[in-house]
Amino acid sequence: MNYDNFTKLNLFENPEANVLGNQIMTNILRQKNDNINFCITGDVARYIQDSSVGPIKVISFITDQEPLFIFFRDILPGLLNFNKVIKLSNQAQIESFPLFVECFYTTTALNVLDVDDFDVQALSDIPSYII
Amino acid sequence: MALQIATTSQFSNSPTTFFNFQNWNFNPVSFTEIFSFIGINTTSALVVATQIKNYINDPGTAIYSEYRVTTTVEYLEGNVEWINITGAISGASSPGYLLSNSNLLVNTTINFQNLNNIPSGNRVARVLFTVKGKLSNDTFQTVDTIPYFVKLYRLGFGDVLTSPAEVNFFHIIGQTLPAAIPVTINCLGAFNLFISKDYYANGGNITFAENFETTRRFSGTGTQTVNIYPTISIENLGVSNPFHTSEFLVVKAAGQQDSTVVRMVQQTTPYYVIDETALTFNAIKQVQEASPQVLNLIGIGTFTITKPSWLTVTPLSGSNIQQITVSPVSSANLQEAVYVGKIIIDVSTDSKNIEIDVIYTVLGAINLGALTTGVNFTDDDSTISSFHNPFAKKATILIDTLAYDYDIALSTAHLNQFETVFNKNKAEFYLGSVIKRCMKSLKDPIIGINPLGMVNSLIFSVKKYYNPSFSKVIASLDTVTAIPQVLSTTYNELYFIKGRRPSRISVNLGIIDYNESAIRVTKNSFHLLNLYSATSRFRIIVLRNNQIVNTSPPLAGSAKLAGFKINFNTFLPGDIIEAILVTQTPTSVNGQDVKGHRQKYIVFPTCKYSNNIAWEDEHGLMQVLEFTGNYVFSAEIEGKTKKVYKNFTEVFEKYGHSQEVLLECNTGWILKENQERIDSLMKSKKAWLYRSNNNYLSIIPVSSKIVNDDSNQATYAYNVEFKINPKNDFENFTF
Repeated sequence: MNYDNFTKLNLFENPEANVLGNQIMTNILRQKNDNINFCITGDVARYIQDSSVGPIKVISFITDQEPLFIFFRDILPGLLNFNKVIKLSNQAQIESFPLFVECFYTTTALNVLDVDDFDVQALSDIPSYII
Repeated sequence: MALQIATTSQFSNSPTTFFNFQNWNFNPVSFTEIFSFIGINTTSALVVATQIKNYINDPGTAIYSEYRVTTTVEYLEGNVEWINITGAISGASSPGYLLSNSNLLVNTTINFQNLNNIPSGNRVARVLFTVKGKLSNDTFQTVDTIPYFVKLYRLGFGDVLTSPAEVNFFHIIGQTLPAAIPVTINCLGAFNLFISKDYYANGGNITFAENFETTRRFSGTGTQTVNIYPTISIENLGVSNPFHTSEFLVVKAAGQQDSTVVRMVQQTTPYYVIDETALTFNAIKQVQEASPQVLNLIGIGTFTITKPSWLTVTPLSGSNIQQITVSPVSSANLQEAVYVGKIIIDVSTDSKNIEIDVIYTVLGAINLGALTTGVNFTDDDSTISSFHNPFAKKATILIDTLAYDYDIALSTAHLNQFETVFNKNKAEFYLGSVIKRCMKSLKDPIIGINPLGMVNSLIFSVKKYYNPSFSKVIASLDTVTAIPQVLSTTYNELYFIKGRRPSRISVNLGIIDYNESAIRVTKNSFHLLNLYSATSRFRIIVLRNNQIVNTSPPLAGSAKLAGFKINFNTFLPGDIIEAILVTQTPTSVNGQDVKGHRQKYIVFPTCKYSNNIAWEDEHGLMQVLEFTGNYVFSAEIEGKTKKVYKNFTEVFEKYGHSQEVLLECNTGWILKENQERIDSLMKSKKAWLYRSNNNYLSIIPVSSKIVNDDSNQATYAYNVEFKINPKNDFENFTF
């Protein structure tokens, strides 16, 4: 079953961004039904948890599963027709419309919370450098 | 409230991340130059920060289970071993330094030895970093060999060497003069030092000797460090552009000499200049990486630099004169695409930043060329596919195309396979040209749109042409590596329209007419505005002298090509008419506020004659131009006879005839810029002359020539000659 919480809950003002989020989550969930190791981080996660952030510059995800990170970095761009991908050791950067998407890989076990039907990294765990 | 998205996107800047793949890099870069004087046996060791290429993450060498690196030294002249290597790589035991993802940055120390066995002159040594990969049978195979060159200048008794090679001063006129800068003179015995009279020198054992017209001379003996500094007279030189240059020249008695360049940047107020405003880089994965490029930043003050993540910029901050080296990251870290960004130099002395546009094109093994979103045009060279691979011998392209008929949604499938061989790591294939050959061409003109049946409405009878062809392409490369591979990429949805890409098209909506000139029309004219629309909703707006006079109902895009007929019978000579494609209903009645793709028409007076001639343009669509000049039919009929014998007499017998009918038609006055439309007509293989509603003559353009030229009005008139294809032998060609 396809993931569509971004659209159902109208997380982003721009519907294209909600579709983008749905597409990414759908493909990630196809890799692993148990999504506990992959979640939203950065300002989007901060917004979902306390609503105090302004316009966001990037949708950030994080995982503690290396195969999921490699899937995101090396396979997902081809599935979703993203052609601008910058591959870093623990960060994959995708230049997409209407905004950038990135995914971090961490060796520290994630503390994932379910807030308003979104899987997000616990507020206190979100690294300050992730915007 | 839903979360808003900022107008500018940006990635997070992780302090712990690094590029997944890094190439070899040395600091200092190869070739390093070392100077030493004869009679001196030692010189300082050279420590080279060595970034080893990440072979583990290199997709092209993934057949090895481990990688080992060793160093060896080769001397290009003589048999004296004058360097030895220490460090992590050379210190590793056999079979070499084992690579991991976390030990790729090491120091390589180059020590100099046995220099007393080397006479004066230059010597070159090559440090070879040899990388070996472990195969499945536990044997090692050489994967790569990277050289690092060291050049030794062994200076003789009479030689002289100054260091550094250049010194730079920075001065704001009227403020304190800059401090002295030390320069080292390496030599044996006495020397003379010459500097500009705008500078002075002291220190070491030098003494002032004399002044010349523009220089001062000092004398000294032996190796030493002296100071050079500007005098107040430097301000008489005024503002520099970008700098004033002079020499710090050391001359020995025997004539040997060396110099240091002395630069002075002098301004009244601090500012910066840069020597490039745009940089372009290109890389082909596994074949060729982009070379670094250098920006020269010249001025007074401090600066900091921001850059895209796919660029390495060194240094990222500094002051005054700086050479800034810009290198794209290895293409292995990037997906094939064109990366566009800016280097922004924030200078402390100016509120306006310096911006340098950067474009980095990364090509992969298989580069389709054609767009995978939106439509392509068959005659664009951007649809040439290119293939790059050092191990490939041929590329195979399988093309499955559905080409659509005109007017009706019937399609014909074409399945073709092509092979193209590699030459110098590269192969090419013109995809657009091949697909064009599968596409249909316009057989008959569109009927039912004849101006004789014209109604008063401005717009718009609509005529469907063809659907853009739909192709699936599978491109694959056969490689000849130790383990042969087939690299393959599938492109599922490619759409093509014939011709070249017009400029008046966005992703989903556009005017399909490469020629953009305004069109001369009269009240008797009609025009087909040919469109491609795949957007959910659009309108056509008609402006008369910049005021909106008509707006079509909302039209649904169907990803097809269609012609929209526009009549001009309600307009007056002198009117300027524009048709505009819009996706949103304009809020203003003022035409200049309407945003969209435009086609302009200029209404001329009607003439005695009016012949609408249509032709198939490069896009396979119909173009129409009203010919308002006179026309002449000329028919030549020739009987064909043969000799036969009847009653023992040779007589002629007619067995048939041949007929050639020509039409010469004058365009009447047309705009000078409509030359491109006459060219389009002449290059067309098919044209039609409308005679009455649903009735036309099939004609073939043969020649054209300008017969009148009104340079004051910028108008021309052409005579165009056509051959007529009769429907049958008995057709009569008069109006």
